[in-house]
Amino acid sequence: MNGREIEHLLTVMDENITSSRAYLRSEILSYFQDHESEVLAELRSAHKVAVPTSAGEVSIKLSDLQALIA
Amino acid sequence: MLAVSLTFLAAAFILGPELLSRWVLGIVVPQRSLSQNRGEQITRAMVWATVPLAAAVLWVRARHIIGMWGGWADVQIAVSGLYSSTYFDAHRAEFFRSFAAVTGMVWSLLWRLYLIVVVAAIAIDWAILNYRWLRNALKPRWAKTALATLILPRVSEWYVLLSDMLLPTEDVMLEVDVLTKAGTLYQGGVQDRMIAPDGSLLSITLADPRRFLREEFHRERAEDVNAPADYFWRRIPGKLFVILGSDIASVNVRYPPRRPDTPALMRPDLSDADLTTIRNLLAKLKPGD
Repeated sequence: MNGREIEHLLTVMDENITSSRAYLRSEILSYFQDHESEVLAELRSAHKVAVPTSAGEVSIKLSDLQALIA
Repeated sequence: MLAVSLTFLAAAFILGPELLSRWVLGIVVPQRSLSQNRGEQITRAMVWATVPLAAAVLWVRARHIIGMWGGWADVQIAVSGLYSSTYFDAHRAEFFRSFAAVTGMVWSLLWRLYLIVVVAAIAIDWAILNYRWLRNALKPRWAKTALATLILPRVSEWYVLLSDMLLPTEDVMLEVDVLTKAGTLYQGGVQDRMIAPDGSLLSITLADPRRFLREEFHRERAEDVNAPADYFWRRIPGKLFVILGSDIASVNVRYPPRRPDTPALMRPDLSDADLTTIRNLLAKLKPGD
């Protein structure tokens, strides 16, 4: 692989990371909406919620959620 | 004698800069050496010789340094003396005077040439060490391509892939999945890598290594197609785990987020609708939760 090929690869990676994050975000928010009662129960009991996503289980803390809307 | 002198000059002006640059670049990262073909090696040697030499020539001409030592006549006398022993015997005193002048001219060019090569090689070393920052700082696509074309071919491909040179952003880290020829899958952060002088991978050291229980996973999958793969990773006791390069069948390079819980939900990325969803969710929690 020469320098130009690697640079092309990096550009593709940058684009993939952006789209992967958007996809992951939509998965998490959809889970919040579709499993609202379970999410609320987990947040009440553990102050965090485990969200199954295509990238594996993502743990989201209540404090992080509160910081997002603060 | 003339042939010997010309060979020495060719070595000093063409091979010397290439060898010096390789030595300085090799201090920072292992270089890809044997993976280049003969044409690439000659092209690189010519570039390393001609561009700094042109700069050195401009330098001595601008400062009128060559003229301080002698002139074209001295070169002619020195070459004639080296070429013909008859001429040498007849003009011995002139020859040594001119030879000293020509030696001074060559020395004036040579130390400037080598200084320029060392400075250029150190600049490339700096660019290699700060490649990620430099690439992110350059906005135009052509500038990024030019940087990659100039810098990356000088570095071992394994070093490029298994160091933070290519990390796309600050908030991700470098992890690899390594499949061995025995069929075992390992996962972990890249702590270190050993690269042979020819640029090939000798070994890779994983931090916080995990091994995938492949057989158990397949057994479980046979019973439950939805069995999650995450539960079949087992931590390997010890902090560092070395896998020999000769045992590696394939390497999957990944850039997971440093904090797996937050990057997916970061304020700048969230739309108003996303924030409303989170706000509505939190509003349903009891006060004080």
